[in-house]
Formats: sequence, C-alpha cells, structure tokens
Amino acid sequence: MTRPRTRACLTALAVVAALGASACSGDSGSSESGGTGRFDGIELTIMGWSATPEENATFTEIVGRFNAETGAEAKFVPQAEYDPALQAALASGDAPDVFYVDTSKVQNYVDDGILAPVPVEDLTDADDLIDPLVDAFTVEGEMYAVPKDYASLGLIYDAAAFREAGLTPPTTWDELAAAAEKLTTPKRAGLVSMAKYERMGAFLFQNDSGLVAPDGSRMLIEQGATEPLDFLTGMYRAGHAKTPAAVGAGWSGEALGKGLTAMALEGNWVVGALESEFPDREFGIAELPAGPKGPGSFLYSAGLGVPADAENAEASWAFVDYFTGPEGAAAWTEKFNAMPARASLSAGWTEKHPEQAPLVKTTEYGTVYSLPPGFGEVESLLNERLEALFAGELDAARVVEDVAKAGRGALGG
Amino acid sequence: MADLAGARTARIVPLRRRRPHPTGTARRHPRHPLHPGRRAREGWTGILLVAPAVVGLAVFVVYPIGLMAWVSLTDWSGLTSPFSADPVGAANYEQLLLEEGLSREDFGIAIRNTFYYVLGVVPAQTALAFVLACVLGQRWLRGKVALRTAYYLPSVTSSVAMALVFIFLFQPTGFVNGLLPGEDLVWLDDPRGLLHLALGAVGVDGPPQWLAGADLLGIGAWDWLSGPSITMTALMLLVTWSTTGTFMLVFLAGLQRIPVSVEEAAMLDGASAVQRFRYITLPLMRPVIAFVVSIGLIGTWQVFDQIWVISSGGPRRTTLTPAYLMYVELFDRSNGGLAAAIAVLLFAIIIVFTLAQRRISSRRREEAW
Repeated sequence: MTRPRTRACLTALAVVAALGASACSGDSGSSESGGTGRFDGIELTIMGWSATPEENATFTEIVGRFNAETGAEAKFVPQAEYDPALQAALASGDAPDVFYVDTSKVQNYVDDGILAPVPVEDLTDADDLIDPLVDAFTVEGEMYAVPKDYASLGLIYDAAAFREAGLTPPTTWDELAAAAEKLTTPKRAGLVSMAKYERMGAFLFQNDSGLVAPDGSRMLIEQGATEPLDFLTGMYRAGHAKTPAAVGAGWSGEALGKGLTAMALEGNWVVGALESEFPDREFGIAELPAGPKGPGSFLYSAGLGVPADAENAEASWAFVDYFTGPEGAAAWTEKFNAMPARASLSAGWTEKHPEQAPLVKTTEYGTVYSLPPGFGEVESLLNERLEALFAGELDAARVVEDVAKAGRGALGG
Repeated sequence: MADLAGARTARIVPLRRRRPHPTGTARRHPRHPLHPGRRAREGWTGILLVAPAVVGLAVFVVYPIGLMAWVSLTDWSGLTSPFSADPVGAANYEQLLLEEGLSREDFGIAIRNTFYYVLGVVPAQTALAFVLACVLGQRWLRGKVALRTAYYLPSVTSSVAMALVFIFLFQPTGFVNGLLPGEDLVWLDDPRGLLHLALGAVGVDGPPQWLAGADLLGIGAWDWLSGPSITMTALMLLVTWSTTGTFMLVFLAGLQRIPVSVEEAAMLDGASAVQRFRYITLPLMRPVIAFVVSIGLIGTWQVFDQIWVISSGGPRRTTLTPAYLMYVELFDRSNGGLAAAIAVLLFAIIIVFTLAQRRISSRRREEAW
C-alpha cells in the first residue's frame, strides 16, 4: 500500500516543482527592457485563437516587439475553444485586456456593454482601414473593434484537372455548371462545398439577394434568392457538386488535396493548408464566378477589441494600434495567410502572394460575413433547409418562405 | 444478498439488532460509564469527517445547480456575470415548450433524437455487456485476461480519439462500407430516419390521415416517427461499443458474487444450463441489471462529446441532442438563460426516466422473490 502512495507523493512534488519553475521563468523573461518604455511593467493578456503553431509564433513575435518597445508585459494566450474560454473569462469578471472579436459577435458584445468604443482618433491612419471591414465592427456609428486581417471566399481549383479537361476557371454560373459537369468522374466530384450559408450565401449576393441586412433592419432572402438556390440545387442534385462529408473529407480543402474534387469554395486559409499537407497538388485560385446581377462573395474578418472596464485601457489600445497599424499588420500578414486590413498594404501583399491576387480583388465587392444577434438559429435553419433542398426534398420557394418567416420572427423579437 | 436464503436472513438480522435492550431504555443515548459524552464527541468527529465531502458537494454540486436554476429564469447572455442578468420569469421555458418558433423546434428535435438514441443504446449496451460478462465468466474459457482487457479498452480511451477513429471507419470509402454489401452509404451525412426508411419499404411515405395534424413541441407526428437517422445510428454504434466494456466489468463483478454452491445445488437437482441461467443467474443479477440500466439512462441522455466531434448536430439536426443544443445556445448564440432552461429540463427528464425505471425494476424484483 505504501509504494503507490509514495509514488503519488513524488509525482505531486514533481508537478508542484514544475509549476514553480515555470512561474519563475515566466517572470524572469519580461523585465529585461528595464524602465525606459511608457508602459513599464504593465501586464496585458491578449486572448485569441490560433489555427497553427506558425500563427501562434508570428503573433507572439509581434507581441514581443511591442513589449521591447514599450516595456509592457503583454502575453498572447491562444485558446483552442475560443468562445467558451472568452465567455468564462467575461462572466467571471476576469476579462482579457485585448481579445479577438468575431464579426458575428460584435453586436452581442456591444448589447451587453462588454466592448469599449475604439478611440478612432488615436489610431494610426484609421482611414486606411478597409471600409467594409470597419463597417462590420461598427454598431450605430461607433466602431468597437479594429480589424486585424481578413480573408475572402474564392474558387480553388485543381490546376492539373483543368488543364486535362481543357478548361479555364469559370466566370459565369453557366460556365461553373458546365465545368462541374465536365470534371465530375466516378471518383471525383466537380465541386465540393459545404451546403451552408457561409459559402452558398455568396451566390445569393450575386443575384442582389442575401439572408438579412447586416443591421438587422430587414430580410433580404425574400428577393431574388430562388434563382441562385435553383442553380445550386441543379449542381447538387445532378451529383456534380457534393458536400465534403459526401466525398469523405473533413472540409473542401482536404477534398481538393486528396483529389476528391476538382473545385472547392474556400478562402486564403487553404493556401497554407494545401501547401503543408498536400504539397504535390497543383492548385489555382480564381474569383467566384459572377451571377446574373454581377460578382459577389464573402469576406471573413476578426478584429481586436478592448473590454469596457479595461484596467489598462491606454496600454491595451496602444497594443491594438501597434498590431493593426501599418507595421504590425504588414508583419502579421507576411507569414500568415490572411490579407492585411489596410488598403495601403494591399498592393505590397499581392506582390508577395501573386497567386492570391483574385482573393484580394474580391475585396472590391465582397460582403463581410456577419449576422445580427439572435440570427444563429435562423442561419442553422437555412443550413438545414439547404441540405433538404439539395437532397430533393423541398423546393427553393419553400426554403425562402420558411427562412423568411423565421427571420422575421427573430427580427421582431 | 449472497443467495436466496442468505438474503432473507440478512434482511431480518438488522431488525433484531435495532430492538431496544431490555434493560436501561430510559435514555435514548445511554452514556458509557467510563466515557461520558462519547456520543457527542463521536457526533463531532463524524461531522468533521464528512465535512470535506459536504463542503465539496455544496460548492461543486448544490451551488451550481441552484445557480443554473436561477439563470434559467433570466435573460443571461453568457457574456456577463450571471448575477447581473435580469429575471424574465418563465420566459425561457415558454420559449422551449409553448411558443411557436425555432427554439421550441430545436428542443423538440433534440428530445426526439435523444429518445431514439437512448432507446437504442441502453438496451444494446446492457444486453451486450451482460452476454460478454457471462461468456467471460465461464470457467472453461482461456485467455480471459486478454479478452477482458480488449473489451474494456474502449472504456478507458478518450471519447474524442475514438470518435476520430470512427470518422475514418464510416467514410464513404471506409471500412464499414467495405464490409456492407450494396450501395455505399454516406454514414456521417445521411439524415434519413431508420423508421421512415422501414415504413417507406412497406409503402408508407407519409402519416396516416388521423395523425397528420398531430403536433408536439412544434414537431409533426410523422417527424416524431422518423427513428434515428443513419448518422445517429453510426453514433449509437460508437457509443455502444465504447461503453459496453465498463458495464461488462460491473456484470462480471455481479456474476462473481453468485455463490458456486447455489449453481452446484441446481446442477445436482438436474437443472440444465439454460434453466440455471433463467432461474438462478438472471434473478440474482436483477439488481445489477437495474443499476446498469439506471447509469446507462443517465449517461445516454447527456450525450455530447461524440456529437461535438463527429456531426455537430447535423445532418439536418438529426443528431442534435439537449446537451449539444445547450452548448450551441450558450456559446454560439449567446442565449445563456435558454441554455440553462434546457439543462433544467434535461435534468427533469433524466430524473423522471430514472425513477420510472427504478420503480419498474423494483416491482419486478419483488415479484421475483
């Protein structure tokens, strides 16, 4: 009986020792810059997410530069499960000093008085920030987070498959349908995309439709949605377009990498994923084909926000400005596959990432993915109805009717 | 409860002990002649000894349950301190149970899905675990330890890791489809209900006239009768496989408590193996079966991990469960109050099912005696 207990005690001791050691090392690293900066010794916690170790390293490097320049002791704390972690921190009154703000959550945060308005006049060259992104973080004329980067939705295709079939990237719906049909083989789908609003919505925009006005003033799906929905349904019912699960992939990028599809609807993030996981796959990037009423696509963005009850508001905003300012944004987007949220940096970034030029161009007409509060349920309903539509159980008119009804309920309530 | 006769005596003995001593009944707590106040001191020691557990229960069980009940009556978004939320009365419950809308529909669908899930998993895991335990309990069996380890291994493996393995097994071009004849199924993205498929096979494609208008929690009768979807069935197979090992161990422990003498006596009386199983093993195992079913009911109603990893409630909400819906409402939709109300309702459902199951099994047990 004694031996396991002894071992348990030793383990406990070892754990305590390790914790102590890490606590010590945490302290020793930061006080090197010794008393010259304007935020000496001010500790900042920056909470966010990080998809890859490289992303984490890049962020930490920029934080390190900020610390060296200002004497602050800022620390990036990436969370695997961001929303639960942030909510737990907020609910317990222990909010981080700076945190990532998702476009769909801004309004919720503002309604609960969590976010402080951005001191726009203190930002470096605030006019340089790309307008639609700024608008996505603006509630009733007040900006609540500064966009840190963004990505856009485009058509990612298997270049070899296109060459073999003698095709060029489609630029209209008809060409897309034709390409999807021609590229479909028993082992490969023409197009793979999840049948969800966050992808399919782009086709609604191409017919001057959508789900809901970003400010929640009215539903958009009631006008012009049936045509794009019918177009998509045609491809899915014919088996030329499929969901990632239907071809046995976790997401469309993986399907493209594995050769299970010739086209995928994804954004800038596929570049890193495809290059690291499927280096042999030769892929190309194009803008989404344009619809009857012109081009349309999604932009996805996240911003940096500071809580309303921030202890070190000045230092927190200084960091936000450092990170989203011309230098910080350039450093951040240099290694990480997202586009800088500053118009002045676009040209330079495109030069370094020429293959992603179509995604940069998408910025001109893209719509930021964002939903008014209480619209999560409506989006889920739309996603479910899209699946039923593509499976042949409903028609587009019924989908529009159901979603519009639920949407009006959510807006009214 | 060692054997039939033993159980009877065991019941009587404590009664006899409790009978008051014929002399010295004046005081309820007779003091020991040499140690006055020993009882009192024992009382304090007792309180001291249970204090850590009681404090732990109060802080980590009673308090959170109370807070959850309170939050379910507020409009808490999940983003601020729950104490600052405004009370809204029973609005969250009305939204889930009475008001027409997406919340009620989601909740109804989650209840339906989980009902079929419980209906499939609990009997399957109980029966399978019992059969495995009976086989492993055989004296003639060789390699018991290896088999026991193999069966138990899934229970000590992380549910997330196993869910990932199942994603591979159930791929369209995966192992499971390779084994099955016929057209390949897209297991993890197929919302068709088993019951609907079965009814469709015999030519029933819609509800009969008298059922068509019926509606509960915003879900039509025909949708209630869908059965588990193909994707849910895959999840049910996964869970059954992973929990069976634990319950098998419980059954094994129960089987080992059946005295060899009883079985030998039955053999001498000429009982066949089937009769011994039917009249000795099964009745003596009844309390253990009841325990396993109770624990199974409680666990299955709370299913979350596998759904979080594999299906996120889809396809078409057919794997949405109350526990997953709670997660979505709190973290994706910032409806903390609604999420708490779902938690309270789930709690009530589990209590009702467990009590009903206990009542049924205890009645059976009395009949058995």
